[in-house]
Amino acid sequence: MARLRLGSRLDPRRSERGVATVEAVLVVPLVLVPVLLGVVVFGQLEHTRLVVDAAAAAGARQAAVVGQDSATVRERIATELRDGGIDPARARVTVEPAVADWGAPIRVTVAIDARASIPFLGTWPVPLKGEFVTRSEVTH
Amino acid sequence: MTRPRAGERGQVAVYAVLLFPMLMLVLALVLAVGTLESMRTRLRAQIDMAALTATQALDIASLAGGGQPRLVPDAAEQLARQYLVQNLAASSSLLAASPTEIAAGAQVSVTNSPGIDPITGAANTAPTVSIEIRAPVRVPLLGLAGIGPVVTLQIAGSAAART
Repeated sequence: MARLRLGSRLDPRRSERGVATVEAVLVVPLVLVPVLLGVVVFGQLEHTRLVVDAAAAAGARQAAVVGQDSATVRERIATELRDGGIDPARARVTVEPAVADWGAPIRVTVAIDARASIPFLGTWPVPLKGEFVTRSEVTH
Repeated sequence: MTRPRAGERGQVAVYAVLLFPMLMLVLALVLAVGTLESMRTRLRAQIDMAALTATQALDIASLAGGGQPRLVPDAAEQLARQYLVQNLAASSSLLAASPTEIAAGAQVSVTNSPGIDPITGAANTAPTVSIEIRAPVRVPLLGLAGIGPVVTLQIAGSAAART
């Protein structure tokens, strides 16, 4: 009896029974789900990038109009970020130079440390930066 | 007893050989197209910023004399190219040509009289600066910029001077 059971277990056709099910159980959560989540996370990151870019562009326009780093520039950027669903407190804003006279270039940068986080796989830091250069329109 | 299950044999190979590479291909395509489209949006914003900055090249004497705003064509074109270089620099990691080369090869049109814009084809009602660039973009495949193809994007933008 024991010999017979052992023999049937070693039968290659018998040993493959249910393998497709096991394979599906492994492949769906381990491959399909992370790939799908990866696409979703990528989409979210691209959205963040677009919002950061738009905020930097709006900030640069404002900076050109006032010709310096000011509360109006930062408020303009914060509004754009909030409208895009990003907490302005997460963003680092730089305006250089702090004061630009008529005709001088003025550069506005908005940087965010975004994270790509795929459940069960891990979290990666993704630094995003929007940067625009324009020209001061005022004489101080 | 084993015969009805024989149809399942080889499904392991189907998953491993067909499904996985296909999924990876789909993923790579999604990332590549997404990156390219987001790059197009960013370049468009950079062109707009350069065009907008170029509209500062107004004819001050004419404006002071109470006339309509008028652009100084040479000054506006020079400003457009200068600020195109400055703004494109933020994208240089994904560009296959330097911002200076792209700006030098850009088409810039400065028009003061109303009419059809030679670059955007829009009906201009105010003095307008239009820019069109051809930017070779490195498309990263699965996050690796080195192995992807280079796609040339043709993008235009414009800005008008209004009072």
